[in-house]
Amino acid sequence: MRAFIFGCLLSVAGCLEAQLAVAPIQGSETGGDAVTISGLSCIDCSAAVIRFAGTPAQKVTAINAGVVQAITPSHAPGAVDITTDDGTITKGFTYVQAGTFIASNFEAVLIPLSLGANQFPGGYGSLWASELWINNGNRWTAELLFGNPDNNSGSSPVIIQGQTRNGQYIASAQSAFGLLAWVQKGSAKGFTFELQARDVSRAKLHSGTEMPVVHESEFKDSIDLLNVPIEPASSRIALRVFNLDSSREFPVHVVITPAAGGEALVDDETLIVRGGPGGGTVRSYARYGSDDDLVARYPQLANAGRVHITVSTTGPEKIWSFVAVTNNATQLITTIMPH
Amino acid sequence: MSRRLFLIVVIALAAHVYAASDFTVTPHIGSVIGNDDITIHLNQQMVCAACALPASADVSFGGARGRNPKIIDRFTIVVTTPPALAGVVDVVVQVNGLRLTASNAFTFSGMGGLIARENYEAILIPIAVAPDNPIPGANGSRWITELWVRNAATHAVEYFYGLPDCPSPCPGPNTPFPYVTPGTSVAQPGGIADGTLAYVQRGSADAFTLAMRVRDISRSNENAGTDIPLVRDEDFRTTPIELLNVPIDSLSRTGLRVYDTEAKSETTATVRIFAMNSDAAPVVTTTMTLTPRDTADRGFLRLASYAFISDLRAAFPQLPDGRYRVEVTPVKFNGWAFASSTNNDTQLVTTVYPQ
Repeated sequence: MRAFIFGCLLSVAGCLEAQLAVAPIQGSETGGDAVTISGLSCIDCSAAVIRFAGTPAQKVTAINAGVVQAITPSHAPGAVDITTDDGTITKGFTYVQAGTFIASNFEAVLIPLSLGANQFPGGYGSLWASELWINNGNRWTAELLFGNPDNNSGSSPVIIQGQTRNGQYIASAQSAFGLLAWVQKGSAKGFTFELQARDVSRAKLHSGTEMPVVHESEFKDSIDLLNVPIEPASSRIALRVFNLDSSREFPVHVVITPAAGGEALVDDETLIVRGGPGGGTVRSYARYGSDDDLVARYPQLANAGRVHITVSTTGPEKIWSFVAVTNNATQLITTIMPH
Repeated sequence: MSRRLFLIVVIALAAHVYAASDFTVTPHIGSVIGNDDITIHLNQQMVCAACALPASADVSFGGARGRNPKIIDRFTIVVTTPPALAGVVDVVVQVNGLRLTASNAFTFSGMGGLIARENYEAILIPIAVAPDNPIPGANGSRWITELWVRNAATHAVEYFYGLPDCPSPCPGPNTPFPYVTPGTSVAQPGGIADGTLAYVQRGSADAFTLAMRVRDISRSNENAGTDIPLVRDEDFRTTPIELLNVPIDSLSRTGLRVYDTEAKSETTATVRIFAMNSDAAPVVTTTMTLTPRDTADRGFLRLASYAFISDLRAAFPQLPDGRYRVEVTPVKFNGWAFASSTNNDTQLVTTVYPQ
């Protein structure tokens, strides 16, 4: 009360109440979307109750004074009222059919390598396959979309809570690198992904290599890859760089220094991150650039031993990057990624 | 109440507000090195609920200006501390024409002095660091594990394992806790055990990168080793941890490691193993017990509780060769888990961890 009176003294507007507002105003009939509701009177809003068409939100998280994030419950398509402790937002939210891509409701997850159900021959008799598995660990059903034109190959985008799905249904015919999965922002943290690359011709020797799966929040303006082995006599080293959302192709700045210290061996801006294939309403692939053999491109690295690699952008873009070291004789892959 | 009496009451109330601190500071302790993110919660709103937030605010700590003040809502400002000498200082906020003060509200400190756990992000180092002395394994293997850290920030960032003891003689609180200088990469020494918790200043954690790799140096011409995940505290979970597509077969031995990153008491994790791509009941259900190895000092724990099944197939011979979903459910703890499959002949390691 004291603070309220003081606020009134400070400003005539101090006693005005905020308008209830909601964003986004659309989401899937499946539920699982994150909706921000602002203009509540609560200062600590951890006990706020939010209902959509009378059904409580799956989860409510206090964000700031007067602001909460609610995870939508499922509901048939159509406009519904949102009820709060401070009143009702009439027809404030519209449920749409499952599988509808509302860009602001989804976040991209990068699947750096995806061979789908295919197997590809490589060097030294290798035969490569990748396996992608997905689990929805949320307490609610949620959606997972893949871009056009691969789309979902007829599979439902809806994954019920607790369900585990093999991602081999994704054709990925256009590119092995940079496939994007799209998950609802309100449900992304509850999904688990698992990606492995395996040389099936050597299955008795090795179970495969765990590959990274990368969420939007891990993209940065600079990525450090530490302790990268440069051993050209036994292996080749590929540097791969991805970007989620740039509208242009752009160069990245690659600096390679000896791990033991000393001057940079490489300081170059000629690696270009280009547009991925495909188009349509849901983006299929990340922008992507690579040096498939760093020593071939930068011969001065041949005797470098261990190096650190820093990949950074010169513009506003965010990137993610990793190194794959492939042994020439055994075809075994070691990934080096930022943690 | 008469108009005059009402005004007297209001002025008296306002004066009382100003007599006490005008805001709270959380945490109220930070490093002498600076770069801690501090939250300031005003006792009264800086603008009305319906008004636009001010574009900027100024926050100073003992006269030194804080960096990057961000107005979060009408009550809340987040600011990064400047470097300062050890001691207790006043905090002053200037926003929207107001000058607000909290006297003796913030303490800068370092080695041997106060420290706030909230200022540090925990990072789990899942396996032991052994860069110099190879550990012998099966089939003639000789294992080394290397851990590197890099501070890409333009300022020094504190990074340490558990809460470091102050050396003797203690240099005193004007000396920061162990830190990594800006723009440098540092190989970490051996002696860091399985399940060690590192701590990095939260305000600079995004600019801090770690990399860990385990390799069999007796086979270095065949393979460069295996990347080992290093786990930030936002990835610790109280909910089921799903490990998908875990190979369990006679060609390899698959280990399961579970960590309790709080280690307040003995805890258990429920482990259920399912066939992949099947909604059938679990093939195996078991319990792992995690016993504390360490006691937290001011919230800093050096060693997470840790449990390890070294060979799932040997432990559960009813499992036919195949791929499995291993679900680890922490029972009342915040933790993490991963599986590693080591080929019996080649000693090559495949890790499976939640992503």
